[in-house]
Parts: sequence; structure tokens; C-alpha cells
Amino acid sequence: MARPAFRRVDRPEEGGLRLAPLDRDRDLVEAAQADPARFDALYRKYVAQVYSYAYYELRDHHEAEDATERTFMAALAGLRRFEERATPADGGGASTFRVWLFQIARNAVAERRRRLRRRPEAPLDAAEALPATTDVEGDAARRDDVAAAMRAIDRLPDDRRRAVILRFVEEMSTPEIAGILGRSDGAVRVLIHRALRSVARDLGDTRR
Amino acid sequence: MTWAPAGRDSHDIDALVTDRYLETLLAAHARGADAGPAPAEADPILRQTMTRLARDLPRFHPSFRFEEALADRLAAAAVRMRASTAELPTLTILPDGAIRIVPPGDLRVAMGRPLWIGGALTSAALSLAGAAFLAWRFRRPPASPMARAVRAVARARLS
Repeated sequence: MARPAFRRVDRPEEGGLRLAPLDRDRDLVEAAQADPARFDALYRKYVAQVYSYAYYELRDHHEAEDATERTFMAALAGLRRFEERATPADGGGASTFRVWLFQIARNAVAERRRRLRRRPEAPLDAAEALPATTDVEGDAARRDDVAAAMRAIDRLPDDRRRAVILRFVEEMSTPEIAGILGRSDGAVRVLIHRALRSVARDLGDTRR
Repeated sequence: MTWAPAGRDSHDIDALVTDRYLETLLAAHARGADAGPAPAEADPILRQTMTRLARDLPRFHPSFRFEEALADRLAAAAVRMRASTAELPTLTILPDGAIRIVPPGDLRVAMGRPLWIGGALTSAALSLAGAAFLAWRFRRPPASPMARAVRAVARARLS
């Protein structure tokens, strides 16, 4: 059963301060726990994030789709066991459901990566898939920038790469990343800081 | 020598400064602001790198076809889950070995030995076979004297 956690919300139109659930997904999670058919709302909310994370890690659309499917199937099956663990320190926008979901995704992706290591690595064609505009030169430059950034994070050690993807692509907070990776907040900050130093060196090299 | 408060070394401090800058930068991106945050004490090279990564790392979206297909599979799984957790009728074996199907909420089952047969609606054949086997076991004379004694005590309690 979810532990009650609330935050104060300033709602002048409702007569000032009121209490609201701390976890922003609480209503959706409780609805899905009561009726699994209502899991669809959570799925729609997070499918792109999970897929994007899986694609960065696996660099293959089919593998990313497979990992995404495994993640959501496992989440649906285990939703009744999910417990909200939000604390006031997590902030108003926290979602312990998202952390839990990405823990499942991390495991699904890790399992696929272990299998893929025994196969040739897929080519980096992500930048080519970016939508084209009428600015041909601008598009080419943008594709170069994206490809360089993706190559730079590809060269990072696993834990640093994951932290950077979750921070920059999924725009997660440090406490959320710490929850997913099973590290302390301080350790995640140091991981990202060191990763940025490596990427800075790498991008500097590629620009010369 | 770098000054650092107790319990934190210079790496932690640098990482904290970078984290704060990044928080502001990503918040500006989320608002759709063009300009990044005002220059802070974060390393200028790292600031440039953070700006670049925030700008250049795209979020990939699954195909519409995949998204809808997975939504359908999840919906089907949800229906199966709902069916498996719904209230099922109880198969009750009476003291004389007869089988009785009791609807949910019928409290008269106290006189018999209730058995929950999971998934009775979806695997009715298996459940009925199991119930028939249990009924046969109840009717069959016990093999050992101890089993006969136990069953006699159970019958005496139920009657």
C-alpha cells in the first residue's frame, strides 16, 4: 500500500494552500493498481522516454522496441507490488513510479546489451534519422553535431553514459537518477561531472 | 589548495556546482527559453559542453505502429489480469464427497471444505478434473489406520 506523502501547493483560486500528493503520478498509479486496464495512461506518458533510453543504450530500433515491451509488460505485472517512496526531499515534480519504471528498463536493457555484446555493433545512424528542413547546410551541420555528441557519450563507461542520458535526454533530477542507478545523490553528481569532462575533451578533439 | 567544507572534497564541490548549473540550464530548456542561464561559477568549458549536450542529444520516439501495437498487447494483458483476480465461484467438497459449486458471497459453505480453484473460468476443464480427483480421493477408503482415524474425526466435527 502506498505511503501517504503530501506537499503544499499554492492554489489561490481554491482558497490558498492545500495538500497535494507528493508523487505526481500517484493518481494514475492508484487507478492502474485498482484496474489494470487504466495502466494505459501511464504507458502513454512514459513510452517515449523508456524507448528513447533503450535506443541510446542499444542503438537498434528493434532491440529498443523489445526492451520497451519487456519493461512495460513487467511493470504492468508488478504494479500491485509497487510502493511509492517519495519524500519531501524529492521535490514537487518527483515520480517514484518513473524511477521504478526505469529500474525495470535498466534491467531489460542490460539483459539485451549482454546479448548484443556477442554480435557486431550496429552502425550509428541515429543522426541520419533526424527530420530534414529546407535549410540543407543547417541540417548537415546539425547532423554532424548530433553524431559527434552521440559518439562522445558512446565512449563513456557504462555508468557515466547512463547518468548522462538520464540527465540530458530524459531530463531527470539527480535524486531520480540516483534511485535508478542505485547510487547516492553525491555519487551521481560526480559521475556526471566526470562524464562531462570526458565529453568536453572528446568534443574538443572532434572539432579540431 | 582548494577550500572545502568538512566532509566534502573539491571533486564534490565541483560536481555540486556543475549540478546546480545543469539544473538551471535544463529548466530553461524545459521553458523553451533561448538563452541559457546566467554565467555562474561553473567551469566555462563544462558550461559549453552542457549547453551542447542539452541541445544536440535528441529524444527518440517509437513508431506509431509499435506504440499502438504494444498498447493493444498491454490492454489484452490487463484484461487477463482482471479476469484472474475477479471473484470466482467456490467449488466445495461436502463431507460425503459430493461437489458443490457455490456462488461468491454464499456463506453456507461453512459446512464443507471450500477449495478455491484458480482460473476456473479460463481453465474449466482442468479445474473440473482436479475437483473430480479430489472427490475420488475423499470417497476412496483411506489406506492407513491413521488416515481413517483422522477422516473419522473430521466427519464427526462437520456433522
